[in-house]
Amino acid sequence: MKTKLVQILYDMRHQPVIGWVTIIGTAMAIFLIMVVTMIQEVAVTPFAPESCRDRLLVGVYMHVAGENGHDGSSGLNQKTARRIYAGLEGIEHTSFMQFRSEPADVKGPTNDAFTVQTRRADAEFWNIFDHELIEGRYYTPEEADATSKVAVISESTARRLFGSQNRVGNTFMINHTPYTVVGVVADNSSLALTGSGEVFIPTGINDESLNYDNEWSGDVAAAMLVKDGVDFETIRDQVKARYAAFDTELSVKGERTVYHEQPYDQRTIASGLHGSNNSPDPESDRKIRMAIYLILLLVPAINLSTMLHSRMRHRISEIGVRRAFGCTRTRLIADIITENFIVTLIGGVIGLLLGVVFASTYGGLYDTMDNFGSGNTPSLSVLLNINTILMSLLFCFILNIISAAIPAWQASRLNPINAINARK
Amino acid sequence: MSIITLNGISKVYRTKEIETTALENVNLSVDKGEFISIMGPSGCGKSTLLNIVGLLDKPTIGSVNILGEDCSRFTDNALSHFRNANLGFVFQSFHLIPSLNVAANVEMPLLYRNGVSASERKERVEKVLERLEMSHRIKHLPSQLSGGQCQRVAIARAIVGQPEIILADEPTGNLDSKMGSEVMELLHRLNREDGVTIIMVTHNEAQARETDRIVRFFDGRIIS
Ligand SMILES: Nc1ncnc2c1ncn2[C@@H]1O[C@H](COP(=O)(O)OP(=O)(O)OP(=O)(O)O)[C@@H](O)[C@H]1O
Ligand SMILES: [Mg+2]
Repeated sequence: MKTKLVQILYDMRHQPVIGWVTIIGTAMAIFLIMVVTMIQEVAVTPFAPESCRDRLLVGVYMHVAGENGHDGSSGLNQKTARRIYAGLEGIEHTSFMQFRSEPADVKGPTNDAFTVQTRRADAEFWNIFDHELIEGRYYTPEEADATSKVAVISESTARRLFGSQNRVGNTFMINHTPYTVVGVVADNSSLALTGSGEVFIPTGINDESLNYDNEWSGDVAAAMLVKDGVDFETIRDQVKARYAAFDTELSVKGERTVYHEQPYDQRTIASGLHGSNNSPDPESDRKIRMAIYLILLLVPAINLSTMLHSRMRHRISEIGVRRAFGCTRTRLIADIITENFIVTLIGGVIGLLLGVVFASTYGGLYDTMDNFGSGNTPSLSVLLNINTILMSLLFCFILNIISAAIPAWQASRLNPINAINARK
Repeated sequence: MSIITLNGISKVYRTKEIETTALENVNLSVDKGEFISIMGPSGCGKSTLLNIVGLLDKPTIGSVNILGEDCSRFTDNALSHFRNANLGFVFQSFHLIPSLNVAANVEMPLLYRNGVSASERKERVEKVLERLEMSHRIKHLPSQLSGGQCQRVAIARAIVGQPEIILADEPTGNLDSKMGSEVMELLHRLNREDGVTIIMVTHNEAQARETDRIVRFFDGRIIS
């Protein structure tokens, strides 16, 4: 082990370019892997306000096809959302709410208007998404049903509107309509697709503003907290039955629903829903991800393999001498791979550090891209969880095996005498 | 008692265009504890013979018997272990590993032997370097040593595993005469004190005359 480190340092000193290209190449590869894993992880790992992700199902979009050639998907209106998703067996809480947050202009007593992300949701929303209450209270079911002009706002929105005092009970404007603040919650990240927001406004069955102008479509989705241990499929079976029931009504107009595996779990939501007319296909998602990993792996592996090959060329005579003194072929291969693994690990650690730096700025970056000014980034432990680190380690290892295999095998097939006498 | 027996050894190198007969029907037997020199003009097959005895190369025809074992049928693995246990190599241009210091270079053969602990390796390396009066250079890199010192370290490496046989291909070929005779003295001492068998290729008549026996080659055959 020590002599291997000595060897690596020696190589670094004598072939610095090859050494640095190897290490930086590995670092970049591991860094990219980490970013990809992180983006993947942040989409499914639970963190506030979506600590419930493992038990979260979201019913969103309905696909309706008609004999008249009409064929399209949309969100649901207040009534239809409840027809399909209210009171399902095995669900602890169901919230009827906007699936996507929506930008709106807000204005406090003394400042200019600015844009925030608003989300309309009923009061059950607070039982599903864990928004930390800093001041005041959440709005109540009564307020939701009455579509009261009250709001729960995030800490930094509160600060921008009112400063640090007299926030609960104070009034501000949302698109020129006055609302009264009843509660202030902690800042949260737009990486929490379903649960995040800067201003939350009550909505209920009577809130017409989320209904569109046909029988069933609107901007309402159902977020559901599944009871512990309940199989998501049993929920889907019920929803399918509700679709079928709804069909009898639609058939009058010559239309029918097309069921697409609703409601969706976090993994499906993370893969990006666009209200499409197709069923989500986690399998093809997985394939694409695998392909990305494969490319991220193969490109540096080929590069590293060439580097190692060139490092070995300078050590052919050493290999011959070692063989003369009794090093077996397998031992030689094992030694080369171990040595290379140390190099890969060094690169890997540098990549990991780059990843940490990235992780600590990533949430902010994402929020900026998403016009979500005040989002609180998910903690480092979410971005840099054990999966991400294990994944990088695994990649280091695979990268090493792929890149070292051929040079090591070639070295082991050298004829000792030719090797000993090889010119450097 | 014979420790090495070569029977009807021939070695033919075949390349695309030409066939070179490096050795032709060589019979040679070396006794335990003997110090023999091999002489002959350039290209007559001396190194080829040493490589075959060193189990680094296989004869085209003939059998190699070392320490009572027929080595012709060994697998590559068995050959490696056999070399490690019984053979020590000294080369004309030393072939020390440039990245490793003296101690690590000398230690190398012990790494390939089962059941030698790190502390035992350290002890043996120190002992052999002390014996060859190289203890004061134990942390030096080969590039920081003179040619004579390099060859001493190479000899230390060859004997650290206490092999029965040392094969030396022109061990003084790259040294001036003073350092050359120091190395020769060392080899004689090892032969005398440890009873190690030595086969040495040399172009130096004076050195050869000091050994127990001279085997002369010409064109791949032993002529005397
Ligand atoms: N790998 C090889 N391929 C083809 N021919 C070879 C090979 N090795 C040696 N030969 C040939 O075999 C013959 C004997 O070579 P060898 O190296 O044994 O000579 P030598 O007696 O050691 O010479 P020198 O005193 O110059 O070292 C030479 O003609 C050489 O060209
Ligand atoms: Mg020669």
